[in-house]
Amino acid sequence: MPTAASSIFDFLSRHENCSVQRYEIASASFGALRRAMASIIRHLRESQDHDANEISDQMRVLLFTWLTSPVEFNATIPEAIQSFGEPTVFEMRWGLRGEYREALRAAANLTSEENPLRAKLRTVIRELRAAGIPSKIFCHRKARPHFDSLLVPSSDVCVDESCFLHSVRDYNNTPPFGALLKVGPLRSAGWGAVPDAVMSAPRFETLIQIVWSGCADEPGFGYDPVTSPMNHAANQNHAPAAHHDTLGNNVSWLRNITRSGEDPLATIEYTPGEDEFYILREPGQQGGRRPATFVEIAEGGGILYPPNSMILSFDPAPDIKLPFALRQIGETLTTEMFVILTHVGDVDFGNVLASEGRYSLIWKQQLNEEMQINPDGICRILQNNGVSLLSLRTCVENWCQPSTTVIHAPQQKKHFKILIEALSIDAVANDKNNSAGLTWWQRAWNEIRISRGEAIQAGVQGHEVVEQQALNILTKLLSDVRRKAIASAGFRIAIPNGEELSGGFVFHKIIAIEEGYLVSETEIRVVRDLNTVEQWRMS
Amino acid sequence: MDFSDIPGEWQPIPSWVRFLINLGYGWPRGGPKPRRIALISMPCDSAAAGLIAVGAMVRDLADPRANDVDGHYDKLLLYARQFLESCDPCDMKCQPEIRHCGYTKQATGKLRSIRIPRQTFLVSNRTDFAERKLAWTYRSGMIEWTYTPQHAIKWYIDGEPPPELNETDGELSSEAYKGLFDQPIVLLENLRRSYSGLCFAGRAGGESVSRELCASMRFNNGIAEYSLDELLTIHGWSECNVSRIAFFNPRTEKLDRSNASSNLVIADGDTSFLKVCDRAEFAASDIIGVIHRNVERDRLEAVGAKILPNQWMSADTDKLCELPTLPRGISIAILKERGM
Repeated sequence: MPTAASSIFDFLSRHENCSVQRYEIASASFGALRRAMASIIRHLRESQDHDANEISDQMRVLLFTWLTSPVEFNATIPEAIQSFGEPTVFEMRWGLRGEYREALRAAANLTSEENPLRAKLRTVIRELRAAGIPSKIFCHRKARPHFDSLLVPSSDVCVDESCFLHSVRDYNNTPPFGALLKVGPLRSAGWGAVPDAVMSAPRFETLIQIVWSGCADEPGFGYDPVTSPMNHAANQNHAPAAHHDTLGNNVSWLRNITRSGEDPLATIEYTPGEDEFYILREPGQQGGRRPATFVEIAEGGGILYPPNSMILSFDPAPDIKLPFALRQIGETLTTEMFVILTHVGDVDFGNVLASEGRYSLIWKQQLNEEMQINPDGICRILQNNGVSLLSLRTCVENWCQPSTTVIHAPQQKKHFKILIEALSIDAVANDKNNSAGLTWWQRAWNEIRISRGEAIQAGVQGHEVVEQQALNILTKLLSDVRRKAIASAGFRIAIPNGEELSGGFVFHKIIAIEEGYLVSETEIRVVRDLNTVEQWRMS
Repeated sequence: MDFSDIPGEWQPIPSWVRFLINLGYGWPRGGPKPRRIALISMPCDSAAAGLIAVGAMVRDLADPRANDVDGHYDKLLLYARQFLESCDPCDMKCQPEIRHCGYTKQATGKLRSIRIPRQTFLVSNRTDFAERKLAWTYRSGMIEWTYTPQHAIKWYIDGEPPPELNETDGELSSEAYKGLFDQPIVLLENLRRSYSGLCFAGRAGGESVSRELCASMRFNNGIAEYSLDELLTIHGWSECNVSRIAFFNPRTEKLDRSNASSNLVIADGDTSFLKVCDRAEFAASDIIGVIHRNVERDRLEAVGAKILPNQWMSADTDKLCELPTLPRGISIAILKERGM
């Protein structure tokens, strides 16, 4: 429940000014790593090669994780970089001139020191605790383990669940408190995202921001649609300027910046050209991209939707009038509800998708056999035929996994075709019902697409009409859905015979909703794993 | 008068609540005036829109023209025409946006009488629009005719509030509103009459969400307690038989009454505000949008784009200057139609 307005206004009336304490941390070795990584990412994203773009996006995920979380400087950092390949091969393949080696060298140097940002954060938390100031930490859900590992339970008061805020909704529901801690720059979406309301509608006395040097806050952060955008750099130590033709909210800030550490190779003044959040703002992969909102589901992974789209969903609250409805993402569609993917036609959910797909059963069995007999052999064949994925072995092992909410399979159609060809499946013997004139691999690929929820997205059968019919059918299945919703965070229900649609519904419980993604059209309304989705986060 | 939005905690009406009620009360109504669009940005989620609406509603209680009695007969005829010529012959489940019939809400043809409120009557196809003669049938098949607005005032559309009560039973009590203002002017006949000139556009989640939010704010004048949802007199939200505020449901995109012509719409939330701004039926209405800033940037920007001065609307600095000092956390922008 949102906090009562009286307590917020009471807080604001008692605090003429709020304050920002910004700690800017510099580090020579981390600075070297940042520069090398940024250089590689920029180089790879300029390439027209899809694989280069994919690697650049994966490196971007690593870099922004380090910049927005209090990560430990340990062996995982050089290991993560090393996973992209052997230095000589990698640099030769992508035309690099020592940047990759430099990144590895800098990462190795890091392991000998403690992350100064982490140390500062620990000190700040302990000071706040000692002073008895109630504080909260705003961070991305995935960054939480880095904060959890920060304090030693035996000597610190542990940071519990109530201390963390992960979304606008969390912030809206929290009563006024003393200090808000934030690692990384203030940005409205993507990496390091935090609600504009923390500046335009504070409910805490002090914002303590710990940030790597050279990372500026987003211009205009703290946006209030009524007043002009606030520019942090321009509006130091006073209230945001309002348009002369509006009345502003009179929230004013006192700012203090403390700098520590040094990075001799970094420019002293802030340079947008060296700010990773500025130069690597968008993911690098080619093709048309559109903004998207991410709905994280309880079983892991999530689905991207166009912002403000209406989603077929189920509200499990017992007293709700309309449990099934089209709800607006972020407005009426909220956590604890279920998104419903409608799988129409083509697939017999009753007997097939509850366990495996019809085609996936066959190719996965064959793939499993190959992996047991000669795993290196099948991987080599795939690689030689053009499946140029990093960690190919891991990927293939993942494809062997039985279906859960989706059929685990290659992301790209061309890779899937190569896989099926490599497995030499007897298409004639295994394809008795091919009435559509498609090849075996195409039908198997369609099965995967459908499992990823693309049927409706394709709009072939008329999106609105299908959803309306789906709503009618779902209403009849209410008691069954309620029962399953209590027992499980993800489940399937087949459409009974005799209805206007055939197929079934897949329910996924929502655990978080997050804006700030840029994705290609084909990734919309498809279940994807978290690591894949991370690549499309804006910075 | 005390106020509470935290269960069990009462306080004198705080300045931010008083500011919002007064804003609604002082909003220019009636007469020749430029159309205005205002956006009020709040620091937190609240029923602020309801507070503005209740202020505007009390203001209307003093206006002798603020009633649905005038023009009621025309409204019934329009309703009957819609039923007989469009809705009755239509073979679709009511979906005006797909059908493109030009209507926003289905006319079921059902009428009620304030004398026999538990029974419905169906508009008859013997209604003569040229002669302005409205006919409806009793269950027995008997036809009743009406020729005059005076007679028609006893009849109203099923599912909507009656235009005027003939008895004091169910009329609005002015007691609840006295504590909100020093000396509110109330015309006694308005307490028995409904009004559709003021509209409250609820939350995107629909009517129950909007009502629940308004119910979280309560007033106490030492004699009785009143929740904000009751004070708003939206049809079906209180025991009062008259309704002084029409309700627009942004989820279903339907008004709670037919052919309502609202001169002021108060929209609760960003989605509601954006929908109201784009609706043809509110194209001439003043609009006050109330949002809170605890939403994502995209949503804030969508709302911000609507309140930028343009070739038709300019900033209304005069009106802004008239406002008292804003409570910290609230910001306001007002646009008014150019050339007036």
